[in-house]
Amino acid sequence: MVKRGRPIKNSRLAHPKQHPSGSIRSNGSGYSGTLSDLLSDLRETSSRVALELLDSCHGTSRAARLMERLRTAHAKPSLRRLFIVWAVLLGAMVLLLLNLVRLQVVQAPDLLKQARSQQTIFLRPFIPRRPILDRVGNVLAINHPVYTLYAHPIAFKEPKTVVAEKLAPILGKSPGEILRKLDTADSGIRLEVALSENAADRLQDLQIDGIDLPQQQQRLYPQQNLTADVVGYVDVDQQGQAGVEYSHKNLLERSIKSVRLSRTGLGSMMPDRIPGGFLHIDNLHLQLTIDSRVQRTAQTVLQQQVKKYGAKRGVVLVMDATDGSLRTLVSEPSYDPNEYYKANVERFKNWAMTDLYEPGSTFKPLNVAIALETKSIKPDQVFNDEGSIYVDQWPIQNFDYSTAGARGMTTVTQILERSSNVGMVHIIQQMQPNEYYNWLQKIGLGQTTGTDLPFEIAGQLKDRKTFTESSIDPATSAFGQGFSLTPIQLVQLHGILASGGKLITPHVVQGLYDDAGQPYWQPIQNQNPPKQIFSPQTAQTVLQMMESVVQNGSGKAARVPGYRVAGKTGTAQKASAGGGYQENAKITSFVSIFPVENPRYVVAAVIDEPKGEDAFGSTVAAPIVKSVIDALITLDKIPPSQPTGQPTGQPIPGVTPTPGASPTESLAPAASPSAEVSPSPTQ
Amino acid sequence: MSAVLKSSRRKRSASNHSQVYPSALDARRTATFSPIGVKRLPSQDIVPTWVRSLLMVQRASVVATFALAGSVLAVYGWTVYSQQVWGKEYQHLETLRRNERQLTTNKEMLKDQIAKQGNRPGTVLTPQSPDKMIFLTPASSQGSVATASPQAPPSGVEADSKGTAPLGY
Repeated sequence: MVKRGRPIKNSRLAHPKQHPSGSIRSNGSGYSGTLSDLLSDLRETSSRVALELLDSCHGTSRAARLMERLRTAHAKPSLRRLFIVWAVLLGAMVLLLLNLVRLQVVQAPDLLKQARSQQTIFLRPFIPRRPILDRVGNVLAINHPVYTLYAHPIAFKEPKTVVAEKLAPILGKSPGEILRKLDTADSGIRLEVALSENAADRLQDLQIDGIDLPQQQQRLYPQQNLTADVVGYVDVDQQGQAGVEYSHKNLLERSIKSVRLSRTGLGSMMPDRIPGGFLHIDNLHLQLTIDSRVQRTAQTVLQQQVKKYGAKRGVVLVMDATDGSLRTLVSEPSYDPNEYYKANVERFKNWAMTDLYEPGSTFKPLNVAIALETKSIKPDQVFNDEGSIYVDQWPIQNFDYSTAGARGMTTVTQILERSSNVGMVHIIQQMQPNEYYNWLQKIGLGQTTGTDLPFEIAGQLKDRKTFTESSIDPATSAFGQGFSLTPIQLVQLHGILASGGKLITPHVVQGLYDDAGQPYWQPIQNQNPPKQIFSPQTAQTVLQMMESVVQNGSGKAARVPGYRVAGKTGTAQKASAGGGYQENAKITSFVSIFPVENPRYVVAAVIDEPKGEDAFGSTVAAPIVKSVIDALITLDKIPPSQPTGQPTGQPIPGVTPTPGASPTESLAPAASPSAEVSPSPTQ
Repeated sequence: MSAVLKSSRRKRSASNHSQVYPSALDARRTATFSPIGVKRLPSQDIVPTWVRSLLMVQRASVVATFALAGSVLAVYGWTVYSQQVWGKEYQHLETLRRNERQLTTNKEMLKDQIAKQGNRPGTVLTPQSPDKMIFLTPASSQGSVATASPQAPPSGVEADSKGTAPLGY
């Protein structure tokens, strides 16, 4: 090679002038001239080398001739050849164009799909249903992600036994058990439901082919059955089915949009296509007015009493009369919303809203308030209590007529203290039935309370014609029978007395708040001023009478030393489905308002069908109310109204306190049952 | 580069001319000394203004091109890097959110458990009750010594407040 290389240099240097490309040089393009020099040198050299080779192989003459022909060959311009070249190029272009059409038009959708699937990922951010908190910030319902583990043995790259061995420690099952499941089908075997995030992470780290971990939402109720009747539950599709979960689903649900993101070759996400606000999940939560601490106390006491008296069910309600917010709503028996599918379907309805009952004596303070407001009676008026009377040939008597007989002249306060039916009939008889009916309607009987819990049922009140025509209907209504209402309506009605005469709406939802406690949305009912029903004076007068009931009358079991508590017991017979009243089924209740000097809370306990001779409002329901009031005092740090150990109660006009009654008396269960009404037939 | 090449080519062609076409050189010589008119030859050293300005433009554009190319690279690198950082930070955010959720859930479940334990028989926890509470009425503005409400039972808190021990630091 080196030898052959030398002649090239020599030849170029030796014959610069004879070079055929000298003509090119002359037209001024010196640079191309040197190139062509080089090229022609190369050609010359190669031909010489070829000649030498040929010489050594075949004879010189043939090779020389061939080379000579090659050197002197001139391409003749040919139209055919031009056309062929043109056709080949054009054909290639057309083919390329066709391929382009195939890729861009025919196969475009498929290819696009393939590319997208490789480059993009669908990010489903975990946007949970909004949590529900109580008024002090305890979480009542919160979402968390759970995973379901599916196995597809057909896609396994390892033997089933190895996979089973790997899965066993994470799932907490024996490999044999997993293996048995894996043998049942080729794919789509559900190995585990509701796996935690950490377990799912560990499974993903194993990187086993043929397992699938789709994410789901799960609603967790950490307090279990504590607030089930208020909060409700969500079904497997995250749809609210009861309570606030149902009635406020629009506030709780957040739309989940999956976001398509580009992915780099390494698999990391590229945020260029993220919609605005993607990262910002609003931190709102639904705040309830329920206080789970009071709720827990109420639940414990209610459970004890229901068990003790073998009652069918019971409910405790606490309402803040200043705004109608419910501090407590406990129903017993209840259910665990985490395992709603195990509960009896009947438990899902909150019977404080859905079941009607005749309130009985707890309604008497309302009747007194109506009579006072219409000026039909005076607070210090005295009525003759015969113990038993006939109205339209129907007998009406006091519950204690058989033992106490006629009580003679009694004040309005004493009528309430002793829960006298006859006395109440006399008070109501001071009014025109029509006017009385108007008032019953005005306080909302026969209507719903408008609370924000779902499935509320309106109370029942006879039509005006039936009510006003016979005198028995106003008479039975005087002691709370002959019409029906829900426990929550009873609380609302007593809320009129507690709030200075205003009809407030009981509600459990305080609003949507953010983490900083700033309100984002609040219900409208909080903004509308409530309707004034009674004058504040009337309400206060009745409250003082009710205070006397707790101090001296049937409500002694609810007394709290040092605090002024008003209340009224009620023991009503239950109406039977076929008309009339059931012999042994009664519903006992106690409604309390406190503190009397600055009324704030309405506490009601209603126990359905307690059994036993001593099952009355004063024995079954009143102790529950006392415990709840105790809890409210300690939690709200309400200072005592007066020093303990001193007589309570201010003199009420026309009220003669029973001598000897002192709050320091031992709080033995009231010896006298509260109220019992004689069956009042319904037409 | 090209300028250098051109000049060398010019030189070579000039030498070629001198060798190949001596008559042309003679002709030029005769033209220089012709009495018809003295033409001044264009000087190699004097560069016209427009060429100079073009050169300036060229130099400036070279600098600008390098600067732009550099900045393009930088911006491109930044976009790639920032996306990587975003991906990492997003995962971090998800972890933090998960931790928050788990903390909240565990806290609430613990609360429930403790409350339930308190209700069990044999527990040392007792519910609060009003008779175990102490209410102190605020001291009058003139009195320097904190006075408890006369109704309130004497308490340890009261005794401490009257004592000489400092309340705090």
